[in-house]
Amino acid sequence: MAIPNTNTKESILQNRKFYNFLSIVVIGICVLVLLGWAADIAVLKHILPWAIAMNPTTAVCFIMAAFSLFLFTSERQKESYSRISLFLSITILCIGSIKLISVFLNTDTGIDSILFNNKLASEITAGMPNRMSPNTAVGFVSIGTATILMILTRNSTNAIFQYFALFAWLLGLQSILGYIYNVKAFYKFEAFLPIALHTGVCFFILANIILLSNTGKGFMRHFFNPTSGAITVRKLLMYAILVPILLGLLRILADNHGFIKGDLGIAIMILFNILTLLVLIWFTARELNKRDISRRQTEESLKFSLKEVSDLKFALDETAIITYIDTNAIITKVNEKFCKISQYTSDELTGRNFRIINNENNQESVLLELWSTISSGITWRGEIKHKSKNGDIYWIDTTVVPFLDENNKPFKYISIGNDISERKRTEERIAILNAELQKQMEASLQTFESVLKKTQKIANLGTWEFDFATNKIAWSEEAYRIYGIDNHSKSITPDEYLNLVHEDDRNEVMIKINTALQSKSEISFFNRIIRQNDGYERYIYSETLANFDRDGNPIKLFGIAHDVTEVISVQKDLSKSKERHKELLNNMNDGFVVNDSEGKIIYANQQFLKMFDIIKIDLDKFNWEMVVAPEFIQQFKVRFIRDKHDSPEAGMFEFRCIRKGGESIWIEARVNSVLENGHVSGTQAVLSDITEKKKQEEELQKTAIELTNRVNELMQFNYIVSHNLRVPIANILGLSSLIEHPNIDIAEKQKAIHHIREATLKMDELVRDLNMVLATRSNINSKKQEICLSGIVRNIQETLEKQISETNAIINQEISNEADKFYSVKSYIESIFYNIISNAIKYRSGKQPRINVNAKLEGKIVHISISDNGRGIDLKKHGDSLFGLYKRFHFDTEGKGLGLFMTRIQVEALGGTIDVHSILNEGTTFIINLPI
Amino acid sequence: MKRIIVIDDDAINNYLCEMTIKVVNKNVKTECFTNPQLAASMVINENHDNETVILLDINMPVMDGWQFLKEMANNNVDYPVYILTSSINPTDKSNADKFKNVKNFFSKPLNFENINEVLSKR
Repeated sequence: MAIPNTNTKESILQNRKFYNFLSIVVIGICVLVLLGWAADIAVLKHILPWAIAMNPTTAVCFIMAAFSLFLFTSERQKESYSRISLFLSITILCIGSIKLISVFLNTDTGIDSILFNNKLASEITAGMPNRMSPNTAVGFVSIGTATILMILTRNSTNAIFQYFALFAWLLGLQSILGYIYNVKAFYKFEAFLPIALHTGVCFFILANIILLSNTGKGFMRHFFNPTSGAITVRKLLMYAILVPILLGLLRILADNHGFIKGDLGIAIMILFNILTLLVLIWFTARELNKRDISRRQTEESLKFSLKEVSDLKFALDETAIITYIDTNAIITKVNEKFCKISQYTSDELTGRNFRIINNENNQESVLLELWSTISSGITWRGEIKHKSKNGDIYWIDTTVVPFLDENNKPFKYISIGNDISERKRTEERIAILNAELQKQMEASLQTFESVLKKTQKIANLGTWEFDFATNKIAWSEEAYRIYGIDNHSKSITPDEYLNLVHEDDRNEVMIKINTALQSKSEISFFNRIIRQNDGYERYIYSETLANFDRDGNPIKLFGIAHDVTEVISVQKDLSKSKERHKELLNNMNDGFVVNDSEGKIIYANQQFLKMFDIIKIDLDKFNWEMVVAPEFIQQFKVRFIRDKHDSPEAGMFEFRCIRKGGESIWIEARVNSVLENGHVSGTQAVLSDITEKKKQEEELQKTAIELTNRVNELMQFNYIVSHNLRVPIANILGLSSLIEHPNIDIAEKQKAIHHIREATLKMDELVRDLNMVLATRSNINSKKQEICLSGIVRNIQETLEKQISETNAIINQEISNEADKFYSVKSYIESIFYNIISNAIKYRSGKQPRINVNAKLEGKIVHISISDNGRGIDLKKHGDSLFGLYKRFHFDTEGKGLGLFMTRIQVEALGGTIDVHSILNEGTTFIINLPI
Repeated sequence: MKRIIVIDDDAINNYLCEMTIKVVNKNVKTECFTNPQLAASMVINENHDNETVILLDINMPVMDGWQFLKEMANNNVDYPVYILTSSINPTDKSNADKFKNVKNFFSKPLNFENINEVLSKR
């Protein structure tokens, strides 16, 4: 109940440090006594001049006893400590016992005269030398026994030792009182030696340590229970001991000094005693009453809240579905409401796993989530579907509250729920109604827009309807005709239908129908059948869609069937490839469309709608001219729009269409006529998206053109090289035949020889050039390193120093940091820059040459532009051959027409491009893009 | 007196032609040009005679043989032309056939028979 307000006092009394302190006090006293013996200090031995001295053996025993208790009550509890304590206590018990026995046998064992034997003899009290008093021996026996028992019974409720301690306590108190009141009998037994004052004090302290350190058991617990009784006792006890002692002392003092004499003193003492006790009792009673009142108030309010709780419980029981669940998910208790709704009895439910009462469908994840939530101590709330004993489904809005123990671990759960089945049912009904409405709308749209329209307009579109309940297929007239069943009133079973399907396609058809049932969406497919009446193999295009009840079970499967044998045969005739044929059958990317005689679409499948990104409702507004690319409109009309005047030929053609977003797609169409009474009434077509194929074709064509260009370029290169090689050879040939001619004089001959030499040198130079060109064309990757553009330009400036200073040329460079350093082939970059910059100086105009070198990085490409203010090049005239081999555009400066050719092949070898802009007499700009 | 104009950017070839012609017939006047533009302006602006023949190279910078021939045609210069080239490109030969004043297609080096042929036609 209420926590005692004597809290602080108790904490001192029950504090181990306090006992340790007391033990040390005892040890201190006895050490001083021994010191007194050793140094002959009387006050330490006797305390009071006339009192007996404490025997040194007694002092040693007390030190052992105090040390034993010190160990036992110390903060650190060790097994070795209690063993030492036990040993010391047994020693004390033995010494006490030996002394007692020697007293009875009237002998001197000498056990109490071991220490300071010579000094003991001079300490004469009552005619005897100092020895241990029998009272002391009894005290040691009881203290020793108490300590031994305390240590042995420390883990049990046995508290007999407390009585031994109490005995020692009384012995100590008695001796103290004896000394205070000077009553010899209290400290001196018969003719034996008296007990010393500090011996009594030490016994009293030791007994207190034993008693106070064991307040949890025995009679001590009555003093230290947190109950009102114990509090009262604790309060009064101290006064009950101290007040009489104090009053008695006062009386004796008064008597001795002659203030109050004899009986009057006793009477006054008793009166004061009574008064003091009355006051104490009155205070205590007041406090007790206060406590009582507050306790009663607490009880009152508790009772009230208990009532409230039970009222709430009642109210909850009446309104909610309540389940108690233990930590093993076992139902421990349910309320009446739950029994009622679940139709189980309380006995049937308790002891079972709470999952058992839940509906097994689709609930596992919810229950797992619930369990993981509540077992982590968090309240869970959600809707759970249940199944009652007789299988009824009901919904409960459930809140599961975990109850936590002091470690915050749940120890039980209470589930509170409300029946929300009605609401759920309504919701479900609305959902089903909505779905049905949707389906109805779709179905009516289908039946009216598609089926009816189709069947009326095109004679050969059949419809069928499979009823899952009767396991029968209802077919339209046209469907019977398509499948070649002559008896139009015969109802067909699915097995009979599958028998009509070509055996190679049966599996595929079943897969497709299953897909339609599982995906709950429209599925279309092509398959072959063996027509029943004539045994012909026909190609059928089918579409199927199921509708479902509210539990998701299919009710009916609707379908259309269309004989597309003629369309397919086009494909078959045109492309004999069996693979392509198979692909067609399986490829659901193919669109299928039926046009009337004016080219208006009367039927289109999903793939067709997807192909042109239109929705079914918009099909009425669809016009082929919206999608067919203009260049194909004419051809499209001829191929696609047919009426009864046209012949029913089949054919295949490709055309381009433009989708809504402007995206081009290529369509391969396999077109055939729809026949009605032997006349063409429209067309039907299977359309394949061949954009990808076209793209590949285009890509291929591009590559082919590129390759052709390369070959041409190579041939050109060959001609040029052979031509230029032939020039010096021809010269040498001609000159050498000239030398041989008799009509030539010596001077001319020498001139001819000089020319031969020149031609030979030129040839050598050509071969070198050729070598360089070919080396550039071969591998370059091994030579890549980090290059610094600005550094390269500076190097070129140094190389061209002579030309630059002669012409006063200015070279500016604006190279961004990112474009300055990149990986490339250094020799190529140097050569490229050298050629262009030296050309810029070489082909300068009259003005001071200004050359600007710019470079910047854009993405992964370095853009370099080198512009000059030189003569410029007539690009109209020379543009094609600017970068050609051995092309020259100026006569008055030297050059052999290799520089720009080399520049181009170096740029190309680096994977880059080079372009030139030039205005005659104004300047030239070279633009180089290099990937990095 | 017969005159042969040699047009080729290769000076050695021009020297060779001059010497070869001289060896065959000392009385033939030879004029050599390494810049076809100068040759063109001369033949366009001079009085045309029946004694002049042109030996023309194809691959030249600034103005090639074809451009020279076009220039001649545009200015009604009808000197007979003999192409003298080291090219072995077959398209060159077929291109030459388009110009009616191109009389023949010689492969370098010019030899004595070629000179005789040129001189005999004029």
